Amino acid sequence: MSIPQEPRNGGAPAELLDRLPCGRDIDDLVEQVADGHAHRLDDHEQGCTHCRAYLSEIQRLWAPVAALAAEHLEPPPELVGKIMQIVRELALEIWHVVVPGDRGTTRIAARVLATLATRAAARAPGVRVVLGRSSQPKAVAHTAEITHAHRQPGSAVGIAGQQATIDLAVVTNYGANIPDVADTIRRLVTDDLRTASLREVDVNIIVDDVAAPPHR
Amino acid sequence: MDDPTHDGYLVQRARDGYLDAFEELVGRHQGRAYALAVRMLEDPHEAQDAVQESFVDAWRGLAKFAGDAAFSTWLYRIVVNRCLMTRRRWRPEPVESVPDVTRSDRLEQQVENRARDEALHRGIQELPADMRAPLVLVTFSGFSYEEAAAILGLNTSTVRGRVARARKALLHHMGGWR
Repeated sequence: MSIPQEPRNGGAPAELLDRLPCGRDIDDLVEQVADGHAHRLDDHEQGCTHCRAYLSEIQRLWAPVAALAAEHLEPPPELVGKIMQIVRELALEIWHVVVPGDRGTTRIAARVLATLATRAAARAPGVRVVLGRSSQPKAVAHTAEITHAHRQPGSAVGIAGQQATIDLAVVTNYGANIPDVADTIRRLVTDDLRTASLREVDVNIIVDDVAAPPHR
Repeated sequence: MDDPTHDGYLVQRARDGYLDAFEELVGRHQGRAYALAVRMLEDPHEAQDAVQESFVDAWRGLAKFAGDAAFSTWLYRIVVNRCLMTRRRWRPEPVESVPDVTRSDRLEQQVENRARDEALHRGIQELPADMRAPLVLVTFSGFSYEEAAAILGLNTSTVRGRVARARKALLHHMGGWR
């Protein structure tokens, strides 16, 4: 191991050793001093003039580093407030779809999107009832990672920028082709939410029950 | 994980959108994050900005934080990366104003101490990034080699080696070996 040397004393390179003549690794001595154990001499060091000379030299050089490390750095008192101010603004935006305009910003709340999605899903043939989202977390389908943190507690909608994830539980009519019904729900919900300027919409569907067809 | 005093619990609540939980996390970790950034950047103002941005990054990234590592490890990694990315604007170094006449020994001592401290700060700054981060974590922020390795995503022996090289470089900078 070598460290770039600057010429000292008229061009002669400074002497820098990896090991002392006694065989001790200098890194170990430096670590001993840096850990604050300079005075805990082992059996070899007690009888070795090289080691003891180097230890005291390293100690002298390391002292300012140790002093700097002991300095207590107090964060500015306003730091937490500043951070939380930014985070609060971000949190406000992710619970809304934000549509910037020339003459002001439009924010559409997540619960509005949930209502739009529920109504759109109800129009799908084969759907009897739209339940929205269960309050039991375990009954909810796996949500896309990206919107997970961006979800108002208890909401069926997660928003991140122009992307949204919607959880919908539905009851289908007996006899309806469930994958077809799910596809139709997705298409209707996505189309409707595009009118709320969302670009990408993931719709998680839980078919929670099957109902007998209504009497004709 | 359900222990409300545990970081993991607060992370979970913050992911559910509870801002107070996140504020508690900020309060817990800002001190160490700030001290780390000051030594990484050697500039209190830039350190404050870096810490602020790091916590905002952490908030944004909570969804991606898998929770398999400790929150603190993940957070301090963000801080280190932020600091390494911060391009320090060029500042003219103040010219050493050594008084012409130093009759007083105390004054001479003060001047010498100041010069020594400046040499130390410069020495830390001039360390290459791959040595500076391990040195700051272990020597100034008091992390163990294992903790520093987890923060940097390196193995412990690599961190140990880099800290050793960094210490040596710093000692060399502080006045050579003899």
